[in-house]
Amino acid sequence: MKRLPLIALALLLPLRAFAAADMSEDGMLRDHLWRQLMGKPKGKRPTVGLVLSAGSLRATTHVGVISVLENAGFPIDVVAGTSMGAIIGSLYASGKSGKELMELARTFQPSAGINLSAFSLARLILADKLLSSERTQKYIDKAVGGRRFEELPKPFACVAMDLYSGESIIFREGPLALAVRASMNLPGIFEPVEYRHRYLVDGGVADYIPIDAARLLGADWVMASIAETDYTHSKPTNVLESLEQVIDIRGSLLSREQRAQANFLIEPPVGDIGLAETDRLQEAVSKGVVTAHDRLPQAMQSLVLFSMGALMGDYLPGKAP
Amino acid sequence: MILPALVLASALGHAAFWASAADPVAEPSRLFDAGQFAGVVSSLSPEALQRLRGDGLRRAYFLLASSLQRLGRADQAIGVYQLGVKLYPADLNLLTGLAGVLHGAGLEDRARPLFEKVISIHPNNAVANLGLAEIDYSLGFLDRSARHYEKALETDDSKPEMWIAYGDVLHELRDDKTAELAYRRSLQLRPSPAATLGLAFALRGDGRAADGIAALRALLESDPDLERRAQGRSLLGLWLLEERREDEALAAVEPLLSEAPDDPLGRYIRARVRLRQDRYRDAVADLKVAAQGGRYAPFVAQVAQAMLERLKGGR
Repeated sequence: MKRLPLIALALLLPLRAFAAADMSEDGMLRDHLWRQLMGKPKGKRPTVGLVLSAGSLRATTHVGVISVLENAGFPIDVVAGTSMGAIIGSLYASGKSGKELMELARTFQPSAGINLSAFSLARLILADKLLSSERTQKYIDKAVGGRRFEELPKPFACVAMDLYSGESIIFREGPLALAVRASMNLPGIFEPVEYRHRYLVDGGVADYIPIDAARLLGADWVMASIAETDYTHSKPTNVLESLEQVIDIRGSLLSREQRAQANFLIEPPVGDIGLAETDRLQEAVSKGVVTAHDRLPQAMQSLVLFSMGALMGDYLPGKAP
Repeated sequence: MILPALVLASALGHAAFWASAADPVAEPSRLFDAGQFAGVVSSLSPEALQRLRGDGLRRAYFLLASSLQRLGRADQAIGVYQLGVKLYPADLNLLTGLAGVLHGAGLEDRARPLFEKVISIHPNNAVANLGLAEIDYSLGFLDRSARHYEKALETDDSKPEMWIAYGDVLHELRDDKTAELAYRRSLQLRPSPAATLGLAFALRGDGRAADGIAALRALLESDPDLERRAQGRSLLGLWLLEERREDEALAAVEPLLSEAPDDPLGRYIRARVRLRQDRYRDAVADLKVAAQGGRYAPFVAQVAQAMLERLKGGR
């Protein structure tokens, strides 16, 4: 086989006008104000919260979003998540980098966290006995090094629903893995988690996009990464998918109000990825990267405009920048 | 995007290399190397192609598609490349050519698997690595993009544009020390405004703001392009503000404002200087003009408006 005559030699090509920097007036000012804002210590700028929605397998798209934010040096001071968003959020808050999360997503085996073997499902249907989600707890506990909420490098909260009261319960202290397990404890499949006199199931039923949890942690400006389903295109074929779809529909209705409470939304187009489509996990992650990268300049502008009060102080006479 | 131009340019001069006395595509090869692409297209008519077999036909497809591409007939080039790839699915020239023209047309979803196929055949293929680097960069996969640029540069480190593109990825990854090296390498190969500007950004990103400003000043002094000089003046003004060198910032944008008095960013920069000088009324006047520039610079206008509201509230 003849080798390609590679990029051969002495070529005079037209140069780009400038390097990749955005040289529009908006781009130059964004870069300038962003640098100023990032030069401020915590406490002198708004506290930034990242909220990771529920969304089962689709929600692995959050990994791509986190990776882009981290590469760009976007500050994330507090994290909140529900269901799969709680799993990813807990790992991130425990110190795992975007790169490590990408690697985890690449090698993720659903059986590592959830026992949904044919035998388990048969037992569920024939013996009318809910499954245990203890495996999720063990997986998380191992991944976060057995830490409690209070021991995390980044403040984190997750949400579950109490079956006794119908309330959404926000966890931000105590044993982390147990709370995350409760947050993604699919009702009707897994037995509720009993904790502090509560009977806890998946938080996606009550708080799909937990903006309130991030605010409780002190977030002034909140970015929400949302992995909603497009249930109009989904035809559930089994018990699990039907239940998931009901939660998603309920979550979508709830999220209409929650969206309005966020300062900025990132919504990767993952709505058509089904609960069982584990082979599309990388696609979900990639869509998170592409969407977040595309939205990044707008997100920076939104945070800069929100922070004008903090920035303005430097512009007046006698103030240091 | 530098790949399509590089691929096109790389083909030149190689057609004759393949040709021999008994070569059935000797004449199209000669025309191609002479830059007579319309002649290549005429000589490789459908009837002429029907008479060719084996290696001659394979090369004819490449010459024809590449010529169509150079003539700006990308749709037809894609069709010919596709026919060629169908007949010769492991031919690196055809695969790379098709991937390159698809990439040039922004059809990244179709270009990517072809570049990946080339790499599966020839892992160090610089063109395919460069194509994937550009696609990954545009989509936000910066780590992957950097790795592909590194692979491409391992094979060919003589292209200043490639070093700039690599520097840009590293700068976005906030690895400004390595980005600086990449821009400097590009400047060694051939000085250019793009490499100097990249270097200025890398120096500033690395905390050496004064050096970045000096590089930017040098660029402004040497670059004859008026539009770039106007952009550069605003940029210089902003960077000087960061260093609290307000007088110099004002001096940087005054020529810009004398040419375009309503320029939103120029007005914004002057307002910032005037605020520091406690010239409140003048600052407000500038901000009011900047806030009207929403059509041209919506973010500048929003920032100016936000500042006006805060100033109003504070007085």
